[in-house]
Parts: sequence; C-alpha cells; structure tokens
Amino acid sequence: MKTQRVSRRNFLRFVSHGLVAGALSRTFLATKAFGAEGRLKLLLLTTPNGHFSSEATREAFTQVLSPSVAQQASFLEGLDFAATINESGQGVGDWHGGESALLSFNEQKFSGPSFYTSIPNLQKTYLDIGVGDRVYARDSSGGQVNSLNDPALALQATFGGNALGLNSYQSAAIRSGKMHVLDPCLDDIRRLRRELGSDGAIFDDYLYALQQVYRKYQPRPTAGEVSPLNPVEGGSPFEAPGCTKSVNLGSLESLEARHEAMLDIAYQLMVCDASQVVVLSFLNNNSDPQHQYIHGDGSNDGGAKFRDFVSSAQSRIAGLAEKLGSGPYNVLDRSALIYMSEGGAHFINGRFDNGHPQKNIPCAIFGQLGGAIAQKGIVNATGQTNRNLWRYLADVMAGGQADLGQIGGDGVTPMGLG
Amino acid sequence: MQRHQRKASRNPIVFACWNLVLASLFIGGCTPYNVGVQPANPQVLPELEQGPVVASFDAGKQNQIFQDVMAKVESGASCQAPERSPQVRFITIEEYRNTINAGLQIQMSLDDLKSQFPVATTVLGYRHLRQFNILSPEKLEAMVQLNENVAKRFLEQHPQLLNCGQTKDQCLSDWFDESVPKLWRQNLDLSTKESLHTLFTSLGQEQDALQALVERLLAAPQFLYRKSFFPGSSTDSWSVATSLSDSLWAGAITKDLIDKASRGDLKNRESIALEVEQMMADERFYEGLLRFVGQWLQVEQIRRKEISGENGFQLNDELREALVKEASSFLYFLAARGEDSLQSIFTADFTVGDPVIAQTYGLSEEDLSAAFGLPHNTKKILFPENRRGILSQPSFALVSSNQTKTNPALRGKRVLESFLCHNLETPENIADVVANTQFDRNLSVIDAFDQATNVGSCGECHKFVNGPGFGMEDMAFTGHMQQLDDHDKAVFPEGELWTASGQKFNFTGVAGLGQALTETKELGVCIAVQSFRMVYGRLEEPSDSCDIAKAYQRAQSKGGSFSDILTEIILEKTQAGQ
Repeated sequence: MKTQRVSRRNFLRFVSHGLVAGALSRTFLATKAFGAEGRLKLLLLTTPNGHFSSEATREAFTQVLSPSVAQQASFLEGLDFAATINESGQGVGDWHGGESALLSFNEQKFSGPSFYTSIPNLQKTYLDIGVGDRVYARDSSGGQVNSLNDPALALQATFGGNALGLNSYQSAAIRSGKMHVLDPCLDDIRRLRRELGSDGAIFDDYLYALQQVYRKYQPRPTAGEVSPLNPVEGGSPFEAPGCTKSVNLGSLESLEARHEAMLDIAYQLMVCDASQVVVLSFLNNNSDPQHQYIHGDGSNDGGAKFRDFVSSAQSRIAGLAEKLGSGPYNVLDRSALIYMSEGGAHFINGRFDNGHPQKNIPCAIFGQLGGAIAQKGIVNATGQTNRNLWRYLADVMAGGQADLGQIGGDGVTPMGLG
Repeated sequence: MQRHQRKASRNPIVFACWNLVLASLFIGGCTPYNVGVQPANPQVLPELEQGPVVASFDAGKQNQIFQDVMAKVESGASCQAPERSPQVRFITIEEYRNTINAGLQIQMSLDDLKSQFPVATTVLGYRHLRQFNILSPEKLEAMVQLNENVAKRFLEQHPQLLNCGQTKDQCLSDWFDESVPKLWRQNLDLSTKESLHTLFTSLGQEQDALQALVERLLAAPQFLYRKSFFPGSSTDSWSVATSLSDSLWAGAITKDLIDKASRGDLKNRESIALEVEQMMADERFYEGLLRFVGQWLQVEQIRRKEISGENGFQLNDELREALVKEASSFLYFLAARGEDSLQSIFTADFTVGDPVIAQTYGLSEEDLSAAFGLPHNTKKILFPENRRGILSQPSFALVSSNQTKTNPALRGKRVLESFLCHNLETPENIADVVANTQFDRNLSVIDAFDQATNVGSCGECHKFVNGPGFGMEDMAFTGHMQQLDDHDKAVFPEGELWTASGQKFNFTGVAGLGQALTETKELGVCIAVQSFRMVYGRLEEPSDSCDIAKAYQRAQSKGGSFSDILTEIILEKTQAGQ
C-alpha cells in the first residue's frame, strides 16, 4: 500500500482528531504564558423596541457588574439609528422593519450588509432567539445569514462534532487548505463564461464570492516550506481560562432561559477565541407579547412591563460582560461587547411614550478592543448615529482604515472613542 | 438599492483582462496542496470589487408587469420578445439534497443539511428566486464547509470506490462517467476529466484525494447553479433536461433524461413537448406539484403553523402533512384525468387527500378509481354545498388565518397575490397595526373589520383585500365551515372581488369566490405568471411579458387547462417555442 504523503493539509486533518489535538491544546494553552493574545473580537448583542431610558439602562447593567468591570463600561447617550433619524436629527419613520439595517451603514430601513462584512479574514458566528426571518446580521450582499436559533444546535454547530478540541488556530489552518479545492473552479467559470457569451456576467455573484473566499484563504507569502504550525491567517493559538467548549444548557423552556443559554455559548466563542464577530439577537420588533409591552400594556402601566422586559435582558447581557471582564484573564482587553437596540428611549419628559420613539437608542460598550476604546462612563454621542460607531469599529478590526466603499461606509466619520 | 446589473463581459478589454488573469493562473500553476507555493493573486474583474446585492421586492413593479401581460393577452396582437438571456439561479436545499443523493449515491436528509445550507429568502412564497438568493462570499464559504461534510459522508459510504478491481485511475474514470453528469448536468469533456485526474494524482490518490475531489465537484458553478433553457444556436438539451427534472418532478435527473440530454434529443419544440407530456403523465409529477403548489399557495407554511383550536381541534403532524399535500393531490388527480380546467379547479365539489382530512372536518370520502402516484390511501373527499374548489380546501383557509381567529385581510391578500397577481405591500409594523386597531366585538367580524379598516390610507389597500376575505368568512381559522364567527355573530359571507383593472364581482361564501375567480380575465394569466416564477426561478421582468402572454395564448388555444398553461410556459422559453 502506498504511503500517504504528509502534506500540510493531511497533517492538519490528522491533527484535528484524537490525542494529537489534546497535546496541541496544551501547547497552545502554554503559549499564553509567553504573551500570546486573543484576536480582536466583537460581540454584538441586540434587543428589540428600544429601552425605557438611558438611566434605566445604566442601572440595569451596573446592578450586575462588579466595580472592576463597571469601570470598563461605556454608555453612549444621545446616539441615533441612521435609518430612522436623518442627518438633521429629524425622525424619518419608525423602526419597524429596521432590524436588518441596524448593523449596516444604511440610511434607510432596507436590509444592508453588516458593517464588518467587507473586512477580510474575520470569523463570524450568528446566534439568535426568536428573531425569525428578520435577522439583524446580514451578509455582504445584504442577504440573510444562517443564524443558529436553537441553543443545543448552536452548541453542536460551534463546538461539536469534528471541531471538538479545535481552537480557531487549528480550524483556520485546516480551512486554509481548501483554497486549492476552489482552484479549478476558475476554469469552470472560464468555460461557462465562454458558453454564456455576452451574458457571462450573470455569474457575477459566483465570481465575486469566489474571489473573496480566495482572499480569505490565501496564505501569507513564504519562501519555501511552511511549518504546519506556523500561524495561519485568521487563526490564533489563544484560549482563555474558562474555555471549556461546553455549556450546561439545562431547561430551555422559557425564552429567558434560551437567551441565557445563547449568551453562555457566546461566552465560549469569545474565551475560546473561536470567532471574531459574534452577533446574538434577542427577538425582533414584531415579537409579541413583548412588543405590546410598549403599546397596549404601556398605555396602562406607564411602561412598567416594558422596562422589566428590557432590564431583564440587559441584566443577562451584563452577566456575560461580567464573566468576560473578570477573572485571571480579562478577555475584554482585546475585545468589545456592544449592546444596542433599533428603538429609542421611551421615557421622555416625565412620561412613557407608548409609540415608536426614535431618539437616543441604547448603546453600552464593554471592553478596550486592544486599546481602541478608551472612553469610559457616560459618553455623549448626541448628533451621531450607529454609522459613526460602526465606522470606528470596522477601522479598528481592519487594523487601519477599512475598505467600506462597497458596503456604504465611505465618507462616514468614525466615532471618537479612543 | 437596486441590484447591480453589470455588463462587464460586454467590454472586450475587461473580458480580455479576465482571460489573461485566468490564463496566468493556470499557466502559473496553482499547484494543489503544494505547501509553500504562493498562488497567483486571484484578482478578477475590477467591477467585481463590489459584490451584487439582493433585490428589494417591488409590488408596484410586478403589478405593472402583470398589467402589461394582460394588455398583450387582451389585444391579441403578436409581440416580439427581446433577445433571450440565459437564466441561472442558485441551487435550493432540496435540489442540493436530490443531486448529491443521486450523484454520490448517499443518503442525506434535509435535516442533515439545513444547519449549514445557506438560508433561502422567500418572496411571494417562492424560495428559489434568483433576485433574492444571491451567492455571497459568506454563502459560498458555508457551501465549502457543507461540501466537506458531504464528501466525508461519501467516503464513509463508499470506502471501496478506489478498489474496484482495476487501477485507481480507471476506477475513478468509471465513477466520473457515472456521477459527474448527475452532479453537473452536463457531459464531462475530455479536458475537464483530465484536470480532475491530475488533481487526484497530485493529492496522492488516496482517500483524502478523493474527498478533495468530491469537494471540488460540489464547489463548482456547474453544481451550485441551475441553468435553465439555455438559448443559443440550438437549445441546450442538458438545460432542458435539468429544468424539466426540477419543474415537473422536483427530483434528480434520471438516467433516461441523462441519455436524452447526452444525445441532444431535447432540442426542438416537438421533442420537448413530448417529454413534458410524458413526464406529466408519470407519477413523479406529483412531487413536482408538491413543490409548485406548496410555494404558490404557501401551504408549506402549515408545517410551521401554530393554531390553537377549540373543541379538541389539534393540528398534529399527521394532519399537517395531509393538509400540505391536499391541494397538490387534488391538482394531480384532476390533471391525471384530464379534468384540470380552471373551472374544475375552482368549483369542484370535492377535494383529494388523506382520510384524516375527512375525519377532521366531518366530510365523507370515497375511494379513488385511479390514483396512481398519489400517497397510499388517498381518498376523494366530498364537499357539502358551501364548499367548492381549491379555495374551499381546509388547507388554504388555515394557512391564511391567525393562530386563534380568521384574518380576512390576510386571506384577501393571499387570494389577490396567488390568483390575480395583484400584489400589495404589507405594512412593516403590521403587528402594531393589528394590535392597536380597535375591533368592536359587538359587531360581526366582517362589520368590525370593515369599520376598522375602511378608513384613510388603510382603506386604499383594504378596498381590495377585504372583499375576498369577507367572502371567505364562512370558513373558520381551523378550516371548518362556520355559521358563527369569532365574535359569536352569525356569518353573512357577502364578498366582492375587485380586479386591478377595476372589474368587480360580487359573490357569497368561499364557494362563490371560486366561481367569481373563474369569471375574471386575470386568473389564467396569473397562473401562467406563477408557473413562470416556479419554472424559471425568478420574478418576471418587463422583457418577459411577451413570452408569458404568448404562452398563455397558446395554452388557451389548447383548452386553457392548468397543465396546458404549465406546459406552454415551459416550452415558450425554448428557442423552439417561438
């Protein structure tokens, strides 16, 4: 029998299983002692329908946070959602149907590419509870992404099966081998374009996708043989303490329990350095009865039920921030948790607005993102929108000025958070 | 934002550059899996620095196109379709499953695939429309991951493929001949076959190499895209065979179709028409109707529908499945007997389906005299006088209702969209609107609804949607007939049906609605439009109006049945259909 040639790809496939993976994991853990750091990471969390008030939001978070993590929090106040507030600060429509625009640079409510989608080599994971087809995260064409909405399936998909025991370094390395699988597809395209004649451009989406995927998998230039264990684009050997790649899901009967379980999975994704952008959305702004806490209930109880709902979700999110920012290794040093909603503050001039107020959407940020976010405490964001924040975060994640022209981010002034 | 329509290849300089880039890639040699070799920079067309974006649904545009089709039909004048363009669309999850199961001879279910397969965007019930399902880089990446899992499954189930008693190359060659036409729906030419062999050799000719080869086959555009009715100097038999498999059987391409496509037998109107006729007469046509009707009437949604019924009504899995299949079984039965005129479809005094439907809704049943192809134990279920036609089927009423009550507006909207191609935008904040609208429970549902909606800007749309919905109020949200509505008031289901052109038809009850629809000029033309969407996998464009009008006119000349319309829509886009 012919001896199997040990290529990098074969080797890494082998590495992904069994004892070798265990040994390597220990090696990777040990590297932390020599100063290895996780990659820059963003965790984007949403709840629907806005918030009660800036004060209520701050209170919900700070009640859960320890003093050391609370010091890492930034509460942006006066921030607006560009799809509902124009440049003059005037409302241009309510936020229903705006979910798919919130993470984009769009100035209207139609779905748009999320702000990080044009940054190459970012690993992303999408999670949600009860969002349905009104998914907040979108792909680079503005299309729907596959969002994992069942905690058990999400756990299986993110850490289960063959990926068990892998960290992002290993999985990125394995994936990098696939660029060669795609190589011959260029030849297919050449043939098909020839057949299609003047309408060959109908395959633009395939060509574009192929090109982008190539770029992602393209290894760094090297002279000669590459060691299989050299760093690979998109991966890092970092795993923080707390990375177990497992979550005790417990009972998932209530909506709150499912949200909590997804937050735990998001935590694992962060501390295991398994994904650089995690989006976790909780419900959409047509979800009932939660939406009616504003309207029917809100007109009777002064927004009490709505405030409880929002505070409850914010407290769970605060719990996640607390876990990330405390303990022997502060994951928030090189990452940021951003919480936001598409709706504004409902408590205005001493009374509860049971409509769709647009101004002053909630936004809390935890973490330093590698030193990029220095402003802490209450940050006055009056006159700025989600677009300014996205521009800043995209630049940080790209390691310089991000190329955002194709997704509508050109000309947007980055928010000053440094 | 509109989807970018690029004409890059019409620029000869750009196209030449593209070819140079490709040439440099292959001459330069992207040595597969050769560690340390830096691949050529995969730059492609400058225009492609920006990816296509998904379209936004524009109800007004589609309504205008439909009016244009209607005008062409009514004028009867011949029209000249503009130059036809090739059509391609991204594969659906069902097509992916069918194709890998047939081509790789493995067994994978939709459940195995759906966590990784890119989620489809549904518009007007259809999940495969080109404009809304663009292959983004993220989706391609997801496909690459999924393909890896599929390739592993393939190796598990075919561990001896390379030990066929001959050389590995010969084993592989035989497998290519057998499998690639099923996967790529085209003949494997010599140079492609050689390149696949080269790849296999360069990877070491072992199981890993085979896995990579399968992944490569599944990442190719020939696999990921459906190419339908490919015009040129002659009709492409492979694209015809593909379209017929998808449209009529919703299944993998068969050996018979592969043989015909390989020989180029599906090139003229006569041969394609004969094939269509034979395929419609085959029991696999039932699967094609399930695909079409499930999306057209949106009855697929019953699988996820939440209904809280009274009096012990339970929408259990058995009933859900029976209701999903009801309309398709009914149409299949009529078509098989040559009785699928629009009059029969909309006024028949029976439905066809599983006995659980008869039991649930208190209807009597009969054995079917000729039911080949239908699920075992399918019955003819007899309607009382107040039920007639496809709209009286419990499935349609149920899927267009709320969880605990009827929804006249939703029902009316579905009727207009599905049968008259009159599209109306749903307000983004529909949950708010409904929740905040005060319905007077002292009035009947119809009166309360009319009072609440027939005002201001709401009234502009409700003028159209309320009438059909009010007329269907004699059907409860569970699909039962009812004499008392959800407000416990007597039901007087007086309805009116407005066409977009301003014609008005009064009717009584859901049985009367079916009859009223058959009296409109729009019904048959709209079925032609729905068939177009299903067959071609995209919403109709202005340039399609002539083709659709001509297809409808041809169908009318043959009798105008549902089968006639579907057949002529399929044939029209072939060059031979002109």
